[in-house]
Amino acid sequence: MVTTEPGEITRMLSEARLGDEQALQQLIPVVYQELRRLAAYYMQQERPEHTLQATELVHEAYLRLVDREAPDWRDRAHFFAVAAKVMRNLLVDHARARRRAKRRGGLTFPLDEALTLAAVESEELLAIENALGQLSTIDPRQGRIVELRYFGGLSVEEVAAVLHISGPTVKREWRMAKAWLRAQLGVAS
Amino acid sequence: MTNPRWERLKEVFAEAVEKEGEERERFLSAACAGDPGLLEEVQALLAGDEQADGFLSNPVVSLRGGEASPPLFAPGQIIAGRFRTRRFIGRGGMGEVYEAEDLVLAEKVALKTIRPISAAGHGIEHLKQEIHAARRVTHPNVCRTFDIAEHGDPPVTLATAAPARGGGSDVAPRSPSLFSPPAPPFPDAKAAYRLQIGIFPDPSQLIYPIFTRLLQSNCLSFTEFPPRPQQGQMTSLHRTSHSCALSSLCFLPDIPGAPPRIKRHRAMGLVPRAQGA
Repeated sequence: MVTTEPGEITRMLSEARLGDEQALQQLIPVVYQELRRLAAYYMQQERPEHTLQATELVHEAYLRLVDREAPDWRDRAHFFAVAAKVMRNLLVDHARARRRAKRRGGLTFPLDEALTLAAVESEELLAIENALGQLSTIDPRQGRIVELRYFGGLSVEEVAAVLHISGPTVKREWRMAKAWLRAQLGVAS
Repeated sequence: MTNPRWERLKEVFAEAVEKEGEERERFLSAACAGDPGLLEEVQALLAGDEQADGFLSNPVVSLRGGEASPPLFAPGQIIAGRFRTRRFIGRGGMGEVYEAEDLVLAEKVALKTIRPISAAGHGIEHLKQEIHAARRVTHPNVCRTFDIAEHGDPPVTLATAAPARGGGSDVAPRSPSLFSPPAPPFPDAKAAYRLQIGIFPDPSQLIYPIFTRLLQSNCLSFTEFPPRPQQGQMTSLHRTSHSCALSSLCFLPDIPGAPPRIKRHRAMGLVPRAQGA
């Protein structure tokens, strides 16, 4: 059982910010667990057709998990970096589940239905995920930048802080990554 | 792992994408001379770049959560059968704040919506505690929370509050005091008190240097930085008028013998009125 004490989460975030990969790996299941728990809880409270925005979910997870004594925006950026990874997995799993459900005739999964994508269809997301996987193999840093920007909503400056690179480098890599993904998706479609 | 060919592709693309027309063509001819495969890859990337406008521009999760969405209520809208909205003031971690008119009492109030996910669980209980706590503090610069109401179906939870007088100029543009005219600068302006409350949408809005801790019922305690032996507390509604809150905070010693959180809760309950101004 991974601890979810706010002070512990903050400590792990600080360590992750300093490059401790183990701390980062410890955070992932905590954030995953919290996001799913929140989604499940929230959906119990709402009308059936309500959809829960991923953004709202991540912000709520942050509020619940992170101790805000002496907060550091870089820790917050790292939290969202972890959340980006987790959210990517959740949403891709969700998109795959929806695809399977379509094939079976409309069966859906109530919990995962809580996670919705703004203006992104499941098929589009899966195509992006597939291309992103290829890009990450070729250029792990570009793959990570896309993950942070697209799945985590981090700004250029925040990505730079998380990856310990300069802002101009992030901009340059982000532009090429988008161009490469766009080209790949164009070929695919 | 560095792939030399990929690195070369990156170099050529980075330079080519900054050029246009014939200049780009000349550059590509020179950079990819004798390597038609490289030229083809760069051209594919450049074509992708031209089509990438808006591509992936809407993050799945945004740090600036909900910022782009319009306010929940329009100006002039009647809320909960009693309040007429005048203007949207701002948006925070818990929800939105509006200037509104209380049609029954014919006075200006602040309306604070509570995001559904914040209202779920203990959210409403915390809000009630906040109201109880705020009612104990009396100061013209304190934005007092009056009541809770609901509007619409499904209901939007609202908190109504009295107007605060306003705050210092440094934070006012981002965190507007509820209503004008602004209050005089808070007493310790030279100390450059700044405050971070909850989550701000932009790291540049992090306000230092006071350490804060979000306590139960959305009350914050703080320790001045550089540390001095004083602490205080405030309620979260003051996030709409930070410096007002600072001007009205009570500086109290901890209650001996109690754990920190308990001490601060008890301290809050013991505060008869603000003494900071």
